[in-house]
Amino acid sequence: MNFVTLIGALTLDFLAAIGNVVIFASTAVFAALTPPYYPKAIIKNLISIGYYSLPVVGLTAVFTGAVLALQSYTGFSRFNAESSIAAVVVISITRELGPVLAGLMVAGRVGAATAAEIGTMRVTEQIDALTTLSTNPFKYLIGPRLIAGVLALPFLVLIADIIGVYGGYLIGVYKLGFSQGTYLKNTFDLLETKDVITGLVKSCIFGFIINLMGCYHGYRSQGGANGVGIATTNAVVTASMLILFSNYFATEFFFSK
Amino acid sequence: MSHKKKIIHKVKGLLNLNKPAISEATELKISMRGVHKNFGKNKVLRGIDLGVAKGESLVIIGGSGSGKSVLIKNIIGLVEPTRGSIKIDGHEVAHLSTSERSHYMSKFGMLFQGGALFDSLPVWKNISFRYLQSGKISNAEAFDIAVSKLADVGLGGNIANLMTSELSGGMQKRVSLARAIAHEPEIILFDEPTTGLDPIMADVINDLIIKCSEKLGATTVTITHDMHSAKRIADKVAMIYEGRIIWDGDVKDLNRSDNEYVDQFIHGRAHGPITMSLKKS
Repeated sequence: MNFVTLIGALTLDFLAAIGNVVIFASTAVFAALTPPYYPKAIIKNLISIGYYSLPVVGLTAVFTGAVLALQSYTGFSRFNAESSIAAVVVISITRELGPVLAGLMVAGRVGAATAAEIGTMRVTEQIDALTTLSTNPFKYLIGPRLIAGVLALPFLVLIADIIGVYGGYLIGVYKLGFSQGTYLKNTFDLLETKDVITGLVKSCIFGFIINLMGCYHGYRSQGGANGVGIATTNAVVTASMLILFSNYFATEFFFSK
Repeated sequence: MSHKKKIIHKVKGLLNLNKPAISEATELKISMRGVHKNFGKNKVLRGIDLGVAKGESLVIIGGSGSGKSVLIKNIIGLVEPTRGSIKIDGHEVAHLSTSERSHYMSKFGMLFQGGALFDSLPVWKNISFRYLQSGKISNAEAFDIAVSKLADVGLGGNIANLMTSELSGGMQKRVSLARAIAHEPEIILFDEPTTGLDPIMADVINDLIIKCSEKLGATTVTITHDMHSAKRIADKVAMIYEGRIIWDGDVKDLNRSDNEYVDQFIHGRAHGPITMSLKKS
């Protein structure tokens, strides 16, 4: 295969993959929004995605906030701009780090689990069995996960925002010697509602992406355990990449002037 | 058979010309005509013509990769044919939409090769899954139905609350059979029902298939490698080879089919036309 043929083949494969994802996403969204609904499955997934992700997201947020305060102090103290540390922490956390890091952590935990579960159902013919039992797999398996993902991520990110800012506060007050009142005043003086809201909107997009990728790769997995392993890897990698891409475009949309 | 006759028979077999006429009785429950299925460039089914009369038990035999599973999945609608006609009770079902298909799925029950039980649900919810999803009965009623169906397949109600991973392979197969017959379907499809079971359990499953099918008066299609099972279950047998039905007839005629492919397959001989083509591939 010569170089030009290789480039052509790769391009066609890439376009076919995008087409497949778009068709899958359209079918899944339609299935999620039309009856019958599966409220028990939505609640179960909300608990699985939201509640059980709290420890990992919380730990990530608290250490991110703490490190951000420490590093900001190292740099800002050279310019006598220590008073900006609280603002840098809160804006960085709410606008970018909270949603993105929570999204990446949930992609690792939930995206992998979703792809593995649905992939195993695919290779053991459980998805075919669902169809033979007059149950649409898109409505029963995928729709509830998409809804739960879109609903759970904003709550996780809101908690990550609070814990992340608290991490910065702990370092600022107990290690760097800021007074509690000054640190809190600096935190809230520069924080705008838009900073938090845009982060939450981003998190809805990330929740959709994580569950879509988990379901898509799991649903299309084939070839037994190896196929499920590949699907799981692909789900986490593609979800993480799409989170970073979509974060850039969302930031461009919300903040570019 | 002379060498010349053998060649003519082989060519006719591959072109699907020497099969006995399928019953054209008006009461064909399942009818397939010219069904092709391609996966990319791979032509798996190459013109399947098959008919199953109401209440009949058809067993489809054939080697690995011959297209048996794809054929049965075409019948139930899990795979859409590339071209051709599939009729259930005289209604064309080959290219239905998802919503149209879910309506005619209620006519079917299917026993999957590996059981395909939902491992996140207990046994009773697996068996009553269709009823529970319909939302028309309570959990208590669904539980009672599950226990009754467990009795039909020779299992006690004490396993109803177990998870499927706690069951042996034979028990999983029986639970899967109970799920397949739970809504009393008109057509039951069995995908290699005895594969992976010891001979005694395999015979138990054969007995259950016969008993349950007779009790429901269902039309059944079974695909299997297991010739003992095929002879026990079948009214009629069809052999698929390279995506075509190369022989079909009454089970009593299986041993005198005058078809060297069938002879080789049912006697499990390593040497013959099927081995030759495997070597070629």
